Amino acid sequence: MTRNRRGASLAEFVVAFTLAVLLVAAAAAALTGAERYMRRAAAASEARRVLREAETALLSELRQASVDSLRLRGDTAVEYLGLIATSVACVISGRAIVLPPASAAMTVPYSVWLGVPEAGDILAAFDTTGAGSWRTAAVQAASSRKDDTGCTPASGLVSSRDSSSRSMTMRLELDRVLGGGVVVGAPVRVLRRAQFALTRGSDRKWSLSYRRCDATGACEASQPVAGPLAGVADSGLVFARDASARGINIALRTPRRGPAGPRESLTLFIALRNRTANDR
Amino acid sequence: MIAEASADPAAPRERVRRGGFALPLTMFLLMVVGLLVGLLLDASVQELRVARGGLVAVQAQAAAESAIAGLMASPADSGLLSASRGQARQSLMTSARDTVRVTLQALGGGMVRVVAEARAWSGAIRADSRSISFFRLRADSGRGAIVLRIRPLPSWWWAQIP
Repeated sequence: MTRNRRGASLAEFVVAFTLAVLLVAAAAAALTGAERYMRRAAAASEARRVLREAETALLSELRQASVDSLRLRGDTAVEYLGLIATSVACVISGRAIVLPPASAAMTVPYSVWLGVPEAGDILAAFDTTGAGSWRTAAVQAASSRKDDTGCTPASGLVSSRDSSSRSMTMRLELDRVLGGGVVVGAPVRVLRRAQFALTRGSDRKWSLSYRRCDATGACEASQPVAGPLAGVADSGLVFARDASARGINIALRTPRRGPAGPRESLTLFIALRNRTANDR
Repeated sequence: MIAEASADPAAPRERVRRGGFALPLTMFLLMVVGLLVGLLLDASVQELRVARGGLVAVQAQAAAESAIAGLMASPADSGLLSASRGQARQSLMTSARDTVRVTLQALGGGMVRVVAEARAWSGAIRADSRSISFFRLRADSGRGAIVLRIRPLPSWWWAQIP
């Protein structure tokens, strides 16, 4: 026989209610503390993410810039020649140069493109005459071609597989002849003038921004890369040349969270690998 | 459900169903506490995970750069001088799961391109680093003997690539 006894005695109810209230109070206190901790941790984590993004962008671009191409503009901006491609000369004909395909048919492809070349970029090719030096010219036109570029397997820079699959080669028209010392196989790089700076957006927040410039020095509008950072008055981003001129010191700060709240900061030293021969 | 014994052993057993709320409430609170602990643990190790990823990336980069430094420090293979343009040589160094692959490509005219690729592991986290550098072969006559060495091109010679 089954009998339902719904309800409980008053004593049972009081004990259960008290226990429940205690448990709920404890859980609420824990929840509030945890929520506060989570909010602090999330804000700190977000600030560190901003600093990491800025660090990655600055390191990847500036570390491979040559020392002589780097200029500080005040202490909140740096101008440099950024790398668009590295390759080798496959054909040199007058003011035109042809670079081999970027396919992986060779052991390692000779051309590595980090961006698409455009008119206004700068081409630097190594001249083997004497101690050797880099010759530069402005790119007037760039075109990807499958045929009639003359870059054949005979140069040693294109595989027969690349040739038969008609892989794309890059033909660049320059504003001047590079000279007789630039021969087939000479290292080539395509460069683009660019700037990193601390700028203020329309939302009145400061951020690390990037803008590209052409050979004449005219620059496009800034694009935010990482932010928010602290403002100019609060040393959000400070560039300084290292005393030995072998690198660049960069200090970054995020804005305060609240009037006296904590904030994150990062100090970077970027050693410039591409120094002149005398520096090494 | 709680079964209560009757006072009279001869009487038929009664099954009593009492609808309590303590057990469901406790279970619910346990779940909330478990969820909180999980979230807090996840938040506290997040920075650690990021730092570990960063450390492995730096290890891979250091391995690739140390391979290039090793090439510059040691005498170059004289075969590179006579190697035809496009000819490549590869070497692979392994240490546990970490690998460094170095490819030397002759460009002609005593110029060489070196591609160093390194892969580093830490547990399940992996990082890769790849760099390209350009050199010239130079006869080094220091300490009496003439040794062939590779020397970086002046002004610009190195780039990290994706």
